[in-house]
Amino acid sequence: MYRRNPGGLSRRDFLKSAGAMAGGLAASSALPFASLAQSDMSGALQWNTNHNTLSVNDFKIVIENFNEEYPNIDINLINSGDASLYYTQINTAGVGGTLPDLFYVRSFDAAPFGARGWITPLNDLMERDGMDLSDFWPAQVAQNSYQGQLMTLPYDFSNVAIYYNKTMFDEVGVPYPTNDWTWDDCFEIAAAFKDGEPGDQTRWGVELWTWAWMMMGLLHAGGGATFSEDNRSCIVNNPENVATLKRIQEEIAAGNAVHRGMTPAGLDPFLTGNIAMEVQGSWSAFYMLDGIGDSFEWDIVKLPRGSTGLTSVSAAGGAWGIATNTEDLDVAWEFCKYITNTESTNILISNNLRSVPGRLSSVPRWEEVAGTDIWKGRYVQVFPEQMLNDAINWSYPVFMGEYDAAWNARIIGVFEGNDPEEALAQIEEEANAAAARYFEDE
Amino acid sequence: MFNSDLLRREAIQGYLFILPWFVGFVVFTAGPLTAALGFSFTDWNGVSALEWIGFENYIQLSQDSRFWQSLKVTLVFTFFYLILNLIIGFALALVMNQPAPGMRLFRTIYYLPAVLSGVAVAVLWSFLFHREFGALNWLLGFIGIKRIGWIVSESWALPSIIIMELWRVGSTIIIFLAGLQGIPPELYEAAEVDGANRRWRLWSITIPLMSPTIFFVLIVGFINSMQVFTQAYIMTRGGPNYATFFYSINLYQTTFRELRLGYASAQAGVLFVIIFIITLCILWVSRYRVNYELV
Repeated sequence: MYRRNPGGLSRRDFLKSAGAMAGGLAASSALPFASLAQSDMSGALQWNTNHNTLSVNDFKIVIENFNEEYPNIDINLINSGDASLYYTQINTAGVGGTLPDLFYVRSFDAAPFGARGWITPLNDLMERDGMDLSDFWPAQVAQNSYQGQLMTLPYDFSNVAIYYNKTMFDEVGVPYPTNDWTWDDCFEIAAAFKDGEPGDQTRWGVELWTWAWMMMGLLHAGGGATFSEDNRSCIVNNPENVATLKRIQEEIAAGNAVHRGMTPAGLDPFLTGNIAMEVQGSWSAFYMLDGIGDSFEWDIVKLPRGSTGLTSVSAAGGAWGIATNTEDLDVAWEFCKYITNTESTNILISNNLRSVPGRLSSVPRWEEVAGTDIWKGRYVQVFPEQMLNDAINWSYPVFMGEYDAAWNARIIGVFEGNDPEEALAQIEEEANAAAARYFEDE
Repeated sequence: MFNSDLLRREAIQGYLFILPWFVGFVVFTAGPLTAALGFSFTDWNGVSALEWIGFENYIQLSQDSRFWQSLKVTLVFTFFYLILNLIIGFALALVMNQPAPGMRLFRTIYYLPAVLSGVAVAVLWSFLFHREFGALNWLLGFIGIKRIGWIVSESWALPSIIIMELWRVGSTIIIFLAGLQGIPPELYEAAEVDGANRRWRLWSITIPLMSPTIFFVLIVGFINSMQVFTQAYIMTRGGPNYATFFYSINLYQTTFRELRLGYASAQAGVLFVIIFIITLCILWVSRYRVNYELV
């Protein structure tokens, strides 16, 4: 089975070590002239991102900071907010050999981009500069690697938990969920919030997203695997996964659960008070805070345990890759290191709790912000805690994109009543056809 | 001598005038088309070396269930959309051709959806089609029809996209209106004097004289329908369960997601051939059905 993150490491131990690491980094940065001197390095870089306006503002701050140390390096930031458009641009540029010097790469893309030779392996550069991997999440290092080489430097690392509407719980008279709950408990609680009959409902108990990578964790909690251990084939069609999907299907049919396709497009039904609980990512906490405002009280709870007794959180993140076609690798590497150092990660992620930082040494700052009044004691710490204790330490296969497409094409049908076994068989067949294309030359 | 020089100069000038178009055509149309044809015989992902594989891509296409599904979806959409678009467009154009008060406003309102971007229309209709909160199901509820899962239901997803596209019938109406207003009124007057009623006038004058316009709408509509992409991509991404997996979505996915550029070129080539052959068939039929006498 898949390796899990070290379960023996408690949150306190983790924070202690992360704090020590942060202290070490701070001390090293205080060395005379080590990082304060301006560098003579010069050049121009194209940096492409796939983020929202708030993040872009932070990117600009980091560029300004970088230019204080590297005044002769011009950074041209181009952001494509739309993910589909962004990946079309990246794929087209990749084929054309005109990729931006530095660009955003998700966990799912590290292996395929590496296989296509689009991003520069970083091991030699890291060794040259004495960087090690101990400050990154082990699971993310695994996801960002291809054939033993780290392909990208981490930006953030995300996982999912359940956001719940405390006001709605109070109104219905249901006790708040606790971290030791199971999916059975979750669906049982969800039934209390059902308003109307299936097909004519305006309120549901819990909303499930259908993302392939997130569902991999849910399937794992039910005892089912998605890919073979060597990530060379898809094995999603197994009795455990069929049972998990049937269970979800039943809950949707009963009106207790809902999938995103059933709720209004463009609106978050959790924000509008149409659902009591929502499976949502660590990246959403900041937007929940802003979007919900004083409309209702809310909190976050761990993802429930599945039939195996495991919570099995699937994690994925964002990172920065250096294009192999870059004309100035040293400059790109210097900038890549800069935007992923602890200080920049604090600015980009931890200062606003935008997901979980990609660096462990940024977690203390993250914890500090999470403890401020603005968060009203909400349990946002669930995300780094899940990352430590419940995240599955897996990486994604090179054919993840094709698996994702096959999954997305079928899963709504399953949630709407199609036979899960048949759908999983088709998904498996399509994913394996893609896998065969990747491995046919070996 | 003089004539010959003049003719030569005129010829050179003529060639110079068409040169920008010709260069554009070669560089942006003929060149890529020829290249795509060549790529279709290769295994190439844009990064690897081109590997000549003969007709392998075409053989694989014939065994590819996604190819057949996308072709089926596209042809079914094209068939129903074209027929309904012609009938509804023509009927509304006939109504709008009447000299009634407020008709200009009526025409403008009908044309408005045609000027909206495909993405905006798709997002708007996603709301309207929503099973629980959509206006469409809310209205149907008044006549006792149960909520329909328009775009999340395998059986309704494709009809939903046809309905949405028909909402943009305004552009067809405008073309038909132009055609209708080009019919000489004397013909109707003469027919009326001869005792022809409305139906006879429609069958004997309007439709025959409108046949070139109908033919034009048919050809253009057919070619566009075979390439539908935006609306389905925004609303359903080809789902659920490939129910709206149009040929162009398949092509896009193969090209930009899977980077199978050789295979995608074969898909594009097949689409080109299908459109070309069906267009030729329509043109052949038009020789017997289209009346150009008064055009």
